[in-house]
Amino acid sequence: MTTFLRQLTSLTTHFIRVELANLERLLSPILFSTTILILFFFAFSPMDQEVFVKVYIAQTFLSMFFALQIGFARIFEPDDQDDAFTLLRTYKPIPEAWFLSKYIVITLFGVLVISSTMGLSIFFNQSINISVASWSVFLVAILALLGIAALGLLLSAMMLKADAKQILYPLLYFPLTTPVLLAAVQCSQEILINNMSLSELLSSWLGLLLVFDAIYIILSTLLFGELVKSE
Amino acid sequence: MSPGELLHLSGPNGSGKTTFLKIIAGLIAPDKGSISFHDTHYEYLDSESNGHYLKISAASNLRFWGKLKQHHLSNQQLDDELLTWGLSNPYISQKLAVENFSTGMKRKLALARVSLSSEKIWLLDEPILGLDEKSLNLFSKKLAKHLNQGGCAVVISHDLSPIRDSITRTLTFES
Repeated sequence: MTTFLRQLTSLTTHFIRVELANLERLLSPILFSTTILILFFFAFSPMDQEVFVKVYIAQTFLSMFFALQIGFARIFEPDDQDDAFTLLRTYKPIPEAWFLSKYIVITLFGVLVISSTMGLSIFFNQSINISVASWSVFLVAILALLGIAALGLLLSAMMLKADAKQILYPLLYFPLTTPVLLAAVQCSQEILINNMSLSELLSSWLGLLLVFDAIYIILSTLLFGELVKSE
Repeated sequence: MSPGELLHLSGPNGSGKTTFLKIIAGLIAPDKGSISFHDTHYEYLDSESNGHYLKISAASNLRFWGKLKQHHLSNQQLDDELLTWGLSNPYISQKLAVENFSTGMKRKLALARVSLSSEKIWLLDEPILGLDEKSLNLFSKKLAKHLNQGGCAVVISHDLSPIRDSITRTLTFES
């Protein structure tokens, strides 16, 4: 096994073990998204069916976005508690293996948050005679997650070294994730309202989403090494 | 530095000993000058933290750091090291999260990691903080063994008793 794969396996297994030991970190984003969904449900019910799909998309992505943000902002919390992050830097793992292992863990975490949010959203809105359960929308949400997770991970690593972390994170995170979210919301609308397929959306909003995913994943992979390398 | 050498960094608080050690460890870039290594692998221990993942067990921590350095630790090696440091109780080593350890136990676990690493260079900043008398003697023996086996170490310690016999050179910092 190459050094890269060996380190990737060790780091990923370890980070998953650490996350499983910190289950409350998963629970709080899910509870947050549940609260938002309940608030939306009571605020908008009974709802005009014409606006239902739009509200469904807005509430789902809004809950998901903020729930993920809560999770991402804490991704380095276990590494920071006893300064294991610094020790890890002295061990000089291959930066790409380090990034990818964290990225895999954060993506798995995000998939759990997305699945529960969408599941709850469908559950709360099942009384309305419009089907919103769509694998295509789920796939769009996962694609949005891939871009947001890469960016969230990069910014979280950046914040470990920054002095003004409380201000800097939202200042960078929110504007940079906007294109991904807009593309994901537009894709979902086209799928649910206009019954468009993913292949039809490839030349428009879905294409834009994939481009931003690629940019953020490549950028984060390259810059993460610069942030964590020893001098 | 040559094999068997122990460089002791001494000086008053705030004189730059820790900064110097961090520069050697590659955690801070020097303003000028450079440091060259024959062997870039080393084991570092910070004065204010131990580098543990607090929510998992002592054994899981040691296994992780070992795997990352490609030191395939057998269960026997792990058990022996934990036994040496008085952390061998299965509940303490396998089940209890490190966050529940006392300050001294956390330090002992960090020293167990250093000892298991088999790296030639040890960079230790106040390694004996929080250790009891028995552990001080143990650390002293471990350090002497490491130096006898051709390793070397750079140590910052205000308490000289456990390292005095091993010191080969002292670098004194002025405030």
